[in-house]
Order: sequence, then C-alpha cells, then structure tokens
Amino acid sequence: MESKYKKYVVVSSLIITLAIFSAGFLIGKYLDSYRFTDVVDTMRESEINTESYLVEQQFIEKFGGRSCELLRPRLIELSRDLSTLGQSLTLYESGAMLLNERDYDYLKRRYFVLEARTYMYELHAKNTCGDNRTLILFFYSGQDEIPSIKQGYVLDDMYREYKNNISIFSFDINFQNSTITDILEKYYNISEAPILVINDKVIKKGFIDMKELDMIMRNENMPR
Amino acid sequence: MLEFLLWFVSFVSLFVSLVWLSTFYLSKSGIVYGMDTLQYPAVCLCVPAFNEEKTIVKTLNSLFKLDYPKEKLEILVIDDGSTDNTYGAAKTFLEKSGAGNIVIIQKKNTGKAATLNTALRKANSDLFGCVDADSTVSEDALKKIVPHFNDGRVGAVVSTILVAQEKKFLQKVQRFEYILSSFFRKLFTSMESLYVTTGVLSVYRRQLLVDLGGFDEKNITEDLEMGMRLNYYKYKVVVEMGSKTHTEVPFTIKAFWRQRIRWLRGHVYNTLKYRKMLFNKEYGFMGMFQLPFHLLSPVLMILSATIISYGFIDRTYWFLLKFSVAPKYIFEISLPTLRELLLGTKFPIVFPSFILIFLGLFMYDRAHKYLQEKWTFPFAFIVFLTIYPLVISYIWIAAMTEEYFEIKRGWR
Repeated sequence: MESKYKKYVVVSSLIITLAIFSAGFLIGKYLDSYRFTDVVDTMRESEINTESYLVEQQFIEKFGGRSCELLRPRLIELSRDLSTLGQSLTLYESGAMLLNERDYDYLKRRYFVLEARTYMYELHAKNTCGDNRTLILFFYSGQDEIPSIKQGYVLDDMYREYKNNISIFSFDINFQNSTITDILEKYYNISEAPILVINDKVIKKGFIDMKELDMIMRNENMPR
Repeated sequence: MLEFLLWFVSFVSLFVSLVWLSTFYLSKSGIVYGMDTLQYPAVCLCVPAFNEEKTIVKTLNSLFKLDYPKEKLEILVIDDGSTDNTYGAAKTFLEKSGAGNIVIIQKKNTGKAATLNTALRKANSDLFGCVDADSTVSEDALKKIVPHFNDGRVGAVVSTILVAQEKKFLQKVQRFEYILSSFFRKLFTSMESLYVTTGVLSVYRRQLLVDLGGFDEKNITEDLEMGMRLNYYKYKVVVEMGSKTHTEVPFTIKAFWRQRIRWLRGHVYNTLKYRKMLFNKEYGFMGMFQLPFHLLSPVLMILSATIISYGFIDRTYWFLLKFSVAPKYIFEISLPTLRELLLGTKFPIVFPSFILIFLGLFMYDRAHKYLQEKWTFPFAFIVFLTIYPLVISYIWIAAMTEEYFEIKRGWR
C-alpha cells in the first residue's frame, strides 16, 4: 500500500475511534440526565401517593368507616413505591457516567424523608389497627463496610420471603445532609452500623443472620 | 481509576482494530507473476530436526511431493544431535522414496539457528528456505512463494500456517489463533510491516542471508529476529496466503507454556534489540505504528487481564459473601428489563467495548472466509475468546519477569 494511503488509514481510523467514543459519551450524558429525571419522577409519584394516603386517612377518620381495612392495602402500595424508588436510586448510582454528588445527595435526602414519613404512617397504623406487618429500620454504613453489606443481603432475602408482611426502611448513618436521619439516630441511640430497629421496640446491634432475624420476627407474631 | 484504564484499553484496541479493518478493505489482492519452468530459481530447503522421529517422515513426504522442478530443489535434512531415531526414520524414508534431491546430515546438537547456518554454508542456491520438522507443506506451497522474489525489495516470503491436528482441546483452541494470525500476516503484508519469518516455511534470498551474517545463534526466536533484521535493513517480509502449511501444536499445558514463554521472551528481546526502528520515521508505518503497538500489545493484554481478573475476583467475592449469609434466592436469575439495562449501564465504556467485540467477531469471520476454513468447535471458540487471552496475559507476565531477571533463555 502506498505511503499516503497508510497515513489515510491511520488518520481515518483515529477519527472513527474518536467519533465512537464521543457518541458513547454523548449517549451517556443524555442517559445521566434521563436517570435523574426518572428518579425525580418516581419520587414525585411516591410523594403524591403518600400525601393522598394522609388525606384518605383524615377523610376516613372524619366520616367514619373501617379505616384499618381500607388503609392496609394503601400502606402496602406505599411500601412498594419506596422499593421501586430505592431501585431507581441504585440504577442512578451504578449507571451514572460521572456521578453528580450534588444531585445524588439531593435525591438521597428526599428519599430518606420519604422513608421516614412512610415509616411514621406505618407505625401509626400498626399501633392503632394492631397491624401485624413488621417494620424494620435498618441503619447502615454507606462506606461499603462488610457487616452492613451482609445485613443488606439478609434483609433483601427477608423482603422476598415475607413480601407484603414486612416493610424495611434503610438509613445511611454516614450521610451528613439529612436531619431526619440525625433525629432517628438520636431517638434510637444509634452510633454504629449495622443496627436494626424492629417494630420500634427491639434494637439489634451488629450483624443479625437470617435465622436469628427469622426468630425475632416470629416472636413478633408475624404471619407468613 | 479502573474506568480510566478500561477507557484507555478499549480506545487503543478499537483504534488498532479499525486500522486493520480499513487495511483489509483497502489492500489489493495478492500479486501473481507469470513464470515458466526455466525461470524457476534454485531453492535449498533446510529441515533442522531434533528428536522428531514421530513427525519427520510426514514432513519429508510432503516435501517430496512438492510441485517444483526437482533439479531446482535441494532438501537438506540436518539431524541436530537427536537422542531418538530421527536420523534412522529420515534415512529409511530416503531409501524407500528414492528421492535424489534429499540429503541427510547428522551433527552434534548446537541449536536451531546454528543448524540453519550450517545448512546455509552448504547451500549454493538462489533461495534458501527453512521448514520445521513437525510441519507439512501443501504441494504448491513453494511454487506460490517464489514469484514474490521478482520484487527486489522482498527479502523473505512466509507461508500460511494452520494447525495440523485438532484432536485435543488445547489444539482446537489454538486453531483459532493460527487462523487469525495468518489473516493478520496478510494485513501486515499489505502495510509492508510483517516482521516475523516463521519457522514452519520461510524462504529467503540466500545471498542476502549470507550478507546479513546468517541466523543469530544466541537468539531463542531466530525466525522473529531474522524478520526484524530484514525490516531493519529495509527488506520486505511478505506472506503468501496460497502457500499453506500445517504444523503440530502443543496439546499439554506444560508444553504450551514453555513454547509461549520462549516466543514472548524472544518478542521482548528482539523488540529491544531493534529499538532503533521504534518511532523512527525512516521506517514509515513499521516504525511509527506497527512496532510501537507491537510493544504496547503486552501492556494492553496485561491491563485487560488485570481488569477482567479483578472484576471476576470482585464478583466472586461478593457472590460468596452473599451466599454465606443469604443463599436462598441467590440462584434465582431475573433478566433485567430494557429500562434497567439502559439506566444501569455506563454507556461511555460499554458502547465502544460493544463495537470492539462486534469488530473482533467480524474479523474472525473474515479470517475464516479468507483462509476457506470452516467454523467449528464452538466451545473451543468461546474459550479462545474468554479464558485464552487471560492465559496468554499470565504467560506475558511470566515471560517479562524471566526476561527482567535474565533467567537463562532456552529452547527446551
């Protein structure tokens, strides 16, 4: 091949390579903003559902009716919303090209607020209706510490096992910008991770394995 | 850090792949020169043999059947101090075949390069060739090679090498490598940057070899060294795709490891020996592209292997950790939805890598078609694409370590 063609081959290949990488970069950038919008949309949906639940609760209390029977399925829906939101946040974190810390902090903060609010409603329903759903507050370390990760695995399995009879609310104790997390930590006297607070009564420090957790939940009269 | 490395590896790999793909589409088909019997140059083919009693007869038989004027062809079999019956097997073949142009010589063991030099001193032909004693050549192999010497800039012509036996799994895996290597030699030829004269069947201008001082007897990859030396003195090395040869390849891990360590150490040693060509504009594409990437390729391979190994170890660790505490649903695989796939994927890394994989598969397909080879052994192909590069990378690390600590180089 002539020398000028050799140069042409190298230069054109370099241009095509740069074009492919630029295309990947642009698609990544577009998906980053789409990811953010996706989480915010899911969050808004969840917020509307939570507010709607509050209004429904007030309505039923004011005009009478079998409030517990009516509200129980709504609480399960709220719990599912939170689970979906958690998954969206995970996708946002794993897929982001360059994780925008500010956006991520903002989304996490809103998520924790939503979790705390749903927890309060669920706790209220449990106390007033004698609901036998198990509520677990999971305080974890967001700095990839093994005991917290292991506890997360166990709780994932627990959630799949008990489906509609369990609600898990997770809070990162190392997250600085959430006042609601700070309040919960102070209230339950949390200083390390992982810690589980079960039904607002039982506080378990350190890693709790599947068997022990299962036993605690049985003692809490949780039906399967 | 890991993402940056991935970007770097995929960028360079994609760039190099595109260069060779463009070369494939822009290069002309092989040049064929008309030639009648009178014009055939005299050729001396040397068969250096050390402990090749099992394969030498096959090799000689294929050389005996070469479609080339007998009066123009001399075959020198040199038994390099074999401890088995190589000499006897060759002698028996000679007696049975009655081939008048085959000469068998027995000498003390001095190594392959020295053996080739012995033959070179005895030869008096226009062209001098080297044929490995564990290989066979096709009938028209030589006839297709010699016309290339009509080009005065051609110093050596090499054949296409394919795997002779594909009985064992490791041989089946190596088959894909040999097909791809032969295809790439064609592309290197198009860019005038082929730098290896393989031992299986390479033919040189005899006088040129003499003028260059013969083969480097201290070199463990004398074929690679000679290819680089020819390029260093601005002679071309070309491959003739129509000239097909088949060679025995190792089928045990131990033999494979030893062979590759020798090859790769030779690769490092000879690249450093001819480092003057690196980034030297005088050598054009060879100096500015081929050799720098030739030098970078082990780095890329080791980096890729490190990234893949890290990913594998990391995933295995988390899998085992999960298995130890929450094993119940661990084997329940749920396929991600399109949304999850799109949102959870790092596109700037995955997109170029995806194109790179596609290009790689396309090149394998082209290589098969070009060499008229059938797609066989799908499992071996998967291993060739996944585990084999890792193994080669580890051999690279071992070879570089041995070379760095100057551990004695050797053939066996």
